[in-house]
Amino acid sequence: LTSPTNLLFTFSFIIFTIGFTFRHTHLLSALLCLEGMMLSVFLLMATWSLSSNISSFILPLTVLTLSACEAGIGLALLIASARTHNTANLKNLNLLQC
Amino acid sequence: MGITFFLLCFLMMVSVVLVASGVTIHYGVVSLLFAAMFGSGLLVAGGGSFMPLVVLLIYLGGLLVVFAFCVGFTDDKYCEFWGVGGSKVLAYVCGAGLGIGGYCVYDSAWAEVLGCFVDGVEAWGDDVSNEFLGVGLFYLSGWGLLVLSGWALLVVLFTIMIMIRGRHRGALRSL
Repeated sequence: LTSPTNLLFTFSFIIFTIGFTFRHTHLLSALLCLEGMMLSVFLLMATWSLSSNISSFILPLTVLTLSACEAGIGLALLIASARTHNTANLKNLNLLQC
Repeated sequence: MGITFFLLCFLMMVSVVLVASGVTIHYGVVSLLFAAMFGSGLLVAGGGSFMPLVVLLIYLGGLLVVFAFCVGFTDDKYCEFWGVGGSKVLAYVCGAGLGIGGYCVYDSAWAEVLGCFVDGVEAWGDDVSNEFLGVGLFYLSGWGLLVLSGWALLVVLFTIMIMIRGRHRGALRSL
């Protein structure tokens, strides 16, 4: 279905994925792009559930819950590494570098 | 109604590109906030009333508050904006994304003019919308996913508490 909201959400998912694969200076930018990906997936699922006869919203709500869990753990990792290295730049996460 | 839909699509595209182009984290968090708001506005335009409020509560009220708090923890001294100090390739890619998004917005303007608008509020009974019955399925036949989500949230709570504790030596210690 190529209605304009579906197209917009699909392209925003693609743009968030592209932004996630590029290397940023800060770890939080990558986490923001990850959150944006889950948000656009939720919007796609909710639009599909709204505009079809299958009116069950279990899947968007479950995906939203699990993405909240994932964001929480990512932020805990960010805070732990920011406490250790005093910033959270991606250059400081080089413990496994040879 | 047409210009509202157009503005929602356009502003959502702008804020999505602003998040993905890796600017300073303060700008990124605020534009993710605006992306969530305009996305839930587009859900309202698609006929829903409960789902946008769910997005606003959980994303804006829960998640982005935590994000803003973490932004307060980690400092970023050098402010960047759209290719000034950051990656120029990414800025050009996101400019291309803005062009694609402009096509989507143009398509939405034509969809409003032609009248093929998504209007999905149908009534099962006579006075109850489809949406609330669909969410109520969580308790009836989707109880397994409800229990699973609750269990996942509990486990994540304790995981985060363990990760933040930081009294040990190693990579995740506190200062």
